[in-house]
Amino acid sequence: MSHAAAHDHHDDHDHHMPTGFRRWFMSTNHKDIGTLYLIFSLAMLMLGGAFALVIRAELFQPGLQYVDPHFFNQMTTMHALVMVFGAVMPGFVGFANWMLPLMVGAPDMALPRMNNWSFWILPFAFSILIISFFVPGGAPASGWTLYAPLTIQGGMSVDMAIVAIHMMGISSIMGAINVIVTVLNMRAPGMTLMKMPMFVWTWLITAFLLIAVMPVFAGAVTMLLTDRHFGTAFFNPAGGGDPVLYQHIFWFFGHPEVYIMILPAFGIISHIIPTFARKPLFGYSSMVFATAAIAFLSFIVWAHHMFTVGMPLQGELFFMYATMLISVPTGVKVFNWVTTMWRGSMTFETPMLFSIGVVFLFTLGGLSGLMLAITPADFQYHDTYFVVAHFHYVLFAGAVMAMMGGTYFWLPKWTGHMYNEKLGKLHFWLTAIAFNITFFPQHFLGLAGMPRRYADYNPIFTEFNVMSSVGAFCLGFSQLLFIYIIISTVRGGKKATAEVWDNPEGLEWTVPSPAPFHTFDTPPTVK
Amino acid sequence: MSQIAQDKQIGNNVTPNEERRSIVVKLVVIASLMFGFGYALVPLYEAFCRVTGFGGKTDIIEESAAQAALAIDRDVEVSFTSHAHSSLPWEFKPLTKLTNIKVGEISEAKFYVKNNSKQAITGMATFNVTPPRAGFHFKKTECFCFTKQVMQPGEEQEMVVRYMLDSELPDDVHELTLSYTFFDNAKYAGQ
Repeated sequence: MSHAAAHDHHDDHDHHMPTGFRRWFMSTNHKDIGTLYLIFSLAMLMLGGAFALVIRAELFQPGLQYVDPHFFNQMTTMHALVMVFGAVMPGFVGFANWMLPLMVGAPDMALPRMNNWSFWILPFAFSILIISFFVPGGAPASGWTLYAPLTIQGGMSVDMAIVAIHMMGISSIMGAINVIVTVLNMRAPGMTLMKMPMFVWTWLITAFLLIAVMPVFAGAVTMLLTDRHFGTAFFNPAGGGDPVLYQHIFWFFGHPEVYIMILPAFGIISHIIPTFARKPLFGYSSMVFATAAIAFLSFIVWAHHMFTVGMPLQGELFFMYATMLISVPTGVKVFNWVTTMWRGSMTFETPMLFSIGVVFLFTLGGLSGLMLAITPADFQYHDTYFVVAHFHYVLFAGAVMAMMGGTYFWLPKWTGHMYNEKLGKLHFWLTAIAFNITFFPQHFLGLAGMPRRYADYNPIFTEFNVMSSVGAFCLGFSQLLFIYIIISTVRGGKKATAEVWDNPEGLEWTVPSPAPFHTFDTPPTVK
Repeated sequence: MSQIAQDKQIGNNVTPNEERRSIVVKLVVIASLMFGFGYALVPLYEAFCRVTGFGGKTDIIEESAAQAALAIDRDVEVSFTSHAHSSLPWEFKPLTKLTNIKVGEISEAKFYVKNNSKQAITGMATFNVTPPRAGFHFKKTECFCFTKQVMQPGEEQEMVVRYMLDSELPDDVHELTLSYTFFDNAKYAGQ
């Protein structure tokens, strides 16, 4: 039955592969759409990285050197918007598209045409966002949080950002629906929920988070839009609105959003570590429940982003304890990864290096997160570089480095070639070291009181800023090596076997490398 | 039980497509409800602030009830600050900057307002109390901030707020500040 259903979607190009425009623009194939998502994500990573380098160049020394403060603010805002909505989220959707059908033994995603649409919205959304640089007043400069009432006053670019956010939101919601339907409806016979690979589990939970909070964000920016142009007063105090309400609605979305960006990363490294430790993942079911617990808790901690707005003491205590509670399931996961490695026959290929890097650096970011969760301490750290250091440890060293590890892990499956191991390891060490040179000093800057989002600073902060800027340029240019490795692996290299690694677990390793255009037309049986 | 689940139970053929459609419909409904939930947060937040005094919101009391309240021998220092938003060409300053009142006693504070522009302008004042936890116990019987204020070109006015502090005011509050901001309300004239 499912065999016939699988073919319903392919009757226009049954077993031959379309080429050129038809293949890429009209694609309904999960592998091609996954590739498009990944390329898009990489392009956005480079663009967002370029914005970051403008920021670091300006902060290399105190005073104003290269850009004026307004442009600097545009850079911080656009860096975040591009990285969050352009690099990290589409990157994980790319991994989901490529790997979920292969992992659950499905011939494709459940809704292939919607899949095509949800990808092709993105380039248009980001074009609108980027074009906003060229309208009067320049790009949004309010920070990615788009806080009212500042954004009620902003120029035309705020409207463009709102439209772009609506489009990205629609794209992610469609992507999430596709993931949920695929996982619930298309698993191979015998694959019960508790037999699903971890990446599938983390993505299933992430997809539910997306469906729950992206519409809330869409609502918040819609209110912003009507406040700006249609005379409503949700956030404008002149009409009786409350700007703090915006912060509450935004962070009700914003906090689950950070788990949307990290849970799939947890999934990826839960595949890599067992493979190179040559042991099954320790505590599979506790991993599943820890992921679900993190997702649930993410809904009741949002106000820890706004401890300083003037909340009642009881509120601050509640959000402080709830936030600290999250470290319990997160600790379970870290413990399980470490225990998986314990007494394993470990080898340190590039994906494994990235995964160990993620476990180590993400845990550091988690610790600084716990420091920020302490309400009285947060009054000191709030809006300083300590926060910047914290979220780059979890988002770059957590999410982005996990995606890099995942890329090396599955690249042979995608391209049929082995990447250059020496260059891969070099890329890891350059990235990990440059990352720490960039962001570790920012902890000290923040503790010493340097505020975020300013183009200039007190000369006492110079040394650490110089270190950070030097690190940032090394980090940025190291990624050119990443692109080189990917391109050369696509073009050629040692032939990869179907298994690629030493006895890896999972259905994706049962299909040949490169994975053929159509896989699992007949569903495999899982014991 | 859904039609699909029933069909499955009695052994009817349920195609994956039908099952898929039903999941998609449910997910789209959830997403739409969550969009509505974002809007529902607005009245929820309003209600939350009103009940708890969160955000320095103050309370309103009937004149008769305020008269009936008994003054107790506890002095609190109340100070007033005010300013007009930068988009509003008004002068707005407190005539009473600082006062000592007893808890339960009715008092008045006056503000001087002048329209420095050549047009009639409608303004609306917002307010808050610091510390916020005292806001709930700051009760007004009448205030210029209850309604919109229309000021003719060059017009001057004294505006009054009549208020009291109720006896539930937390013991450790010895001084509090009431702050007003006048905003240009022209954009919201129709409301």
